[in-house]
Amino acid sequence: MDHSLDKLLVADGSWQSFEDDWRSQCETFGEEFDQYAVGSLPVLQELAREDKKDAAVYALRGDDSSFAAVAQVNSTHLPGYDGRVLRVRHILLSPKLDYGELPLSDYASVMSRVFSRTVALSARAMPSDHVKFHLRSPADHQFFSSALSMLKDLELFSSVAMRGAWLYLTLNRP
Amino acid sequence: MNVKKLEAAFFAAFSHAIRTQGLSALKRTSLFGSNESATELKKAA
Repeated sequence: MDHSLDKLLVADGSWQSFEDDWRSQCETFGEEFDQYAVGSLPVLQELAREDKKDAAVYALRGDDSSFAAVAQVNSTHLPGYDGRVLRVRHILLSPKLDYGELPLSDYASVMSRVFSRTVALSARAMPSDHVKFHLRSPADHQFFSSALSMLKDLELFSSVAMRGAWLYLTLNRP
Repeated sequence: MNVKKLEAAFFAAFSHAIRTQGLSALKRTSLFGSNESATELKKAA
């Protein structure tokens, strides 16, 4: 299945489509959507009420119209940085990936698409020179440390580092 | 920016992390909303 990274807005109904899909996914597993991701989804919904250029909610939508992941993305100037910084927060994979036991490649595929396509926003929709992903828990730190070692070996990034609760990437620009 | 190349790089990195640490390690991360359900947040408090 292929995916597109779509901006979610309350005004055009896309947020409602996302919510309806994840509600349905939760119910498939006998879970309640209103009890799901209670720290993140209200934040994302609030942001989806506004149509801003430098801050938005993006979701990975499959060609079957189901949503595989969602995240908050914004671009801003930050102290200590030369150029704008793209920050990616509240990354969530779908209830199907959460409650289900899918092949490992499905998890890697969705994660790689979320990460690569949000990074791509730094080149187009939200021009930025640096990208940071928010790692919200000690478990995040442990998991992403293992992935970090491989990312550092690639020529795509001039810098890859974990500091505090963030994974920092600076891309090699041609 | 070559997004396909970037995607392939992330795929390799995340596949490696999942293979070496196991799916259970990934499922303990904040990427999964069930880890921030009202019940889980209450347990943690």
